[in-house]
Amino acid sequence: MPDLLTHYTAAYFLTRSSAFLRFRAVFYFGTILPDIISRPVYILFPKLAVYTVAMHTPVFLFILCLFLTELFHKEIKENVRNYLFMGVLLHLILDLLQKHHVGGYFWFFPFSWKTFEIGLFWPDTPLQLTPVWISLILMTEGIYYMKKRKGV
Amino acid sequence: MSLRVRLINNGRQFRIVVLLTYFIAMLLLIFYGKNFYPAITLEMCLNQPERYDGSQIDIGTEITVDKIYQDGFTIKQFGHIVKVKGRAENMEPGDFITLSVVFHKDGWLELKSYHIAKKRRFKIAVSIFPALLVIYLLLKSFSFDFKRFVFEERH
Repeated sequence: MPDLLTHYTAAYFLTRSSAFLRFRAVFYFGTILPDIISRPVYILFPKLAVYTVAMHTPVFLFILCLFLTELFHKEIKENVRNYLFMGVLLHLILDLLQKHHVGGYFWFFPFSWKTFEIGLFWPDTPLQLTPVWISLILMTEGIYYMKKRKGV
Repeated sequence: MSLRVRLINNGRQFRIVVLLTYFIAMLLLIFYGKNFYPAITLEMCLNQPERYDGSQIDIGTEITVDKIYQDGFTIKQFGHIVKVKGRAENMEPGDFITLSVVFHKDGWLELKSYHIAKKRRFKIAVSIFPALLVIYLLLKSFSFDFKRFVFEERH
C-alpha cells in the first residue's frame, strides 16, 4: 500500500471542489478504509496477520461498505454508500499501481489466490513525495481561503 | 399495536438482520482467508522441518534483520531468529525486509532474493496523521444517534 497520506492526497484533490462538500469526509474515509481495518492488526499483532488476508480484498470491502452504510440514516444511505465505494475504489486503484517483492493483492478472493499488480512503484516510493503532498494541500487550502476572503 | 409502530419495528428488525448478514459474511471471509491461505510460512517450516525441507517460501510479515554476518544474516520473526545464507547489500540490523528463500530442515534459509523496506517506520508514522484527520472530519460531518443506532448529518 502507498502510505495513507498519499491515499488522502489523491482523495483530497479529487473532491476538493465545493460540489463534494457534503459527503467528502465519507469519500476520505472510504479511501483509507482498506488499510485502517487491516494494517493496525498486522503491525501491532503480526501473529494475527493471517486473519487480515481477506480484509484488503474487493469482496470483503464491498460487504464492509454495505455494512457501514446500514449505520447511516436512511435519507443519506445512498450517498454514503456511493461515496464509500468510490473511496475504496480509489484506494484499490492506487494499490494496483504498486509492485511487491513477495505477495500482493488477492483481487479475486475468495475465488482465486492469484495476485496481480501493474508494478509502477514500490510501496515506499511515494513517501519521498510527502513534502510535496503537504505543500500542495496547504497551497490549495491557502488559495481557497484567499478566494473566500475576497468573496470570489 | 398501531400499523405505524409495527412497520417501524419490522424495519428495525429487518435492519438488524441485514447488519448481521453482512457481519457473518465478513467473518466467513476472514476465516476462509485464514484457513485456506495457500502460502507456506516460516512458522510452518520451523514446526515441521522435514515436511518443508527444500521448499521455496516467500516471507514478509514483520520480518526484521537481526545481525549481519560475512556469509549472510539472521532475521527475526515472531520471536524466532533464523539464519539466512546469501549475499545481501545495504542491509542493516533493524531493517524491515521481505525475502524469497529456500528452507532447509536443519533450520537455515538459502537466500534467493530480497527487498529492504528502509522507510517502513516512517511510512507508518506518516499514515497516522491522515487517519486521525479523516476520522475527525467524519465525526465533524456526522453524529451518532445511540438511540436509533444511526449516523446523522450535523447541520
